[in-house]
Amino acid sequence: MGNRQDIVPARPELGSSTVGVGLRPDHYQDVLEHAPSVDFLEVHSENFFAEAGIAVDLLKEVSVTTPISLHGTSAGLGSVEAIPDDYLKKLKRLVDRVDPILVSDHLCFTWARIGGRLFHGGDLLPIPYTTDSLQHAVNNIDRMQQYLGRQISIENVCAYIEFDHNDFDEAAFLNEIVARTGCGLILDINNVMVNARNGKVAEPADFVDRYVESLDHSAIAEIHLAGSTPVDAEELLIDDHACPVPEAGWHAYGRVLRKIGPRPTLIEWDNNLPSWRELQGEATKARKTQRRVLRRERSHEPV
Amino acid sequence: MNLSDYQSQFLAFLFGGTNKPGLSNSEVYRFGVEAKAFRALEHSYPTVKALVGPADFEELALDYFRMVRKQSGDWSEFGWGFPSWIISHRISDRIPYLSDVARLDHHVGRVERSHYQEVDFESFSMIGEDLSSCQLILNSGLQFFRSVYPVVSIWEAHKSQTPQDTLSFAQAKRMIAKGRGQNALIYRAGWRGMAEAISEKDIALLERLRKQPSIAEAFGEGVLNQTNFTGWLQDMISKRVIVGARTIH
Repeated sequence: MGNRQDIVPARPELGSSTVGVGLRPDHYQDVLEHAPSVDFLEVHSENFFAEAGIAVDLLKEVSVTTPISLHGTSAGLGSVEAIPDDYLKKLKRLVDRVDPILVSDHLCFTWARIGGRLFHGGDLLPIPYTTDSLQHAVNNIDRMQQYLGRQISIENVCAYIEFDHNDFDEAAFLNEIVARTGCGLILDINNVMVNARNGKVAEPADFVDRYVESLDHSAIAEIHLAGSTPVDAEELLIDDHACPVPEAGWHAYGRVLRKIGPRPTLIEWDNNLPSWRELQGEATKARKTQRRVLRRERSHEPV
Repeated sequence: MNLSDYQSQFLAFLFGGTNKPGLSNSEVYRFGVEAKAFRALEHSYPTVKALVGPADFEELALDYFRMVRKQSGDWSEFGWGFPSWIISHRISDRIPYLSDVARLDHHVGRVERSHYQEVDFESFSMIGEDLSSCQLILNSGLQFFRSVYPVVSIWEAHKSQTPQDTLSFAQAKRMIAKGRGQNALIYRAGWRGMAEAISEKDIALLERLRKQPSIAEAFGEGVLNQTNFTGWLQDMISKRVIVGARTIH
């Protein structure tokens, strides 16, 4: 079991009301030509695992002037199998190269053995929230934090399947992991909304609020905002990060800020990418939402 | 079912297994990873895709994904065994050079993502009178191989949207008709991986240099007086194929 005191927190420079966007290959040129007008850039860690090359050089160059948030998609922290050394080695090399403000991944599994051989599932695969799952997630998170010598944060995922048996609800499961490992949390508002919608929850906004209410607020290190391509009512909504944050997402974000206070916020957009300018426009919306909410909060403070 | 069995069975299902997990919507994940596998191979093997067309390439990608499965957390590493796997695929009966073309695509990608040494110009001053006591350093990131097919011309032609209109295509066609192949040298120019056809003499020389002989052993004692050697060396340095010289103790 982990010890919270052992874990070095993420680099403290990132202010709580900072806003960042995801950096994807389509925008590399834009970033090289003009310094990004965002507080930080998020990248998918595995895309920079190469020994060398254009992506690695670009990230090293950008990281000199812009803080980087390393967001993994492949560690599979909820796997029964331990994360392979080779994976951790590459992640550590990347962490050493760019000195990120945050290292994170998802609460899901990806590794498993078939016929004795270890394979990777290539996606964020859901886990049941049982005591057994909890122990494996804790072991893997502990192992990664020890290997990197720093705190990591874990993100709630979209789950398109439902398990018959859970010992915890998702928020309680995440809180338990935080208590046992000292890791941080990434609150992905869109994922909570997608799960509520696919679960045909009657009042999705209330569902999101109750979910956020239940989380350990002190552990939330970053908020993620994203959009999903709308589908017909009977179809499953997929978290494809292929469109702007919907109005309901902005409203939920405002309520989250009121509830937990400002947090570094990331706009995620991975498919059907907009122009770099449009993406930065989404970051501006997040800043405006923060200002509006926090101004209102301050005006209500007792004197 | 225990957690370990659930995770193993779910992965087996993603890789095309017929035992569907007893959880509705599981196929959403299967469609998702199949699409990712296709995109990863498409990115790594652009010439193969151009040669076989999108529909056949998708079939190839799915066959490969289901058979070989994914073993690393990094999608850019997925498909390293694709060139040798293609040899036994029925598509190679129709396009026998496909495996070698895949090999070239793979090497180009690898050169772009590997550490590629810089030239240490000062080190060449170590080359003195005694050529048996110094050697040339071959870039460790370099790749080269022999093919019985004109792989470089095929690769070059398919960089174009209309390969049939290129000189490389005409050359490849001529060489295939005559049963002639090419030796491929894959190097890096800036960040970009490049391929060019080299002579049998040059590839034999690069193979010799990989064994780290002295300059005298590799080229003969009087080589420094030969103008074709200095021209060759300048060309190799400009491509960072040869990156320096060192003395042998």
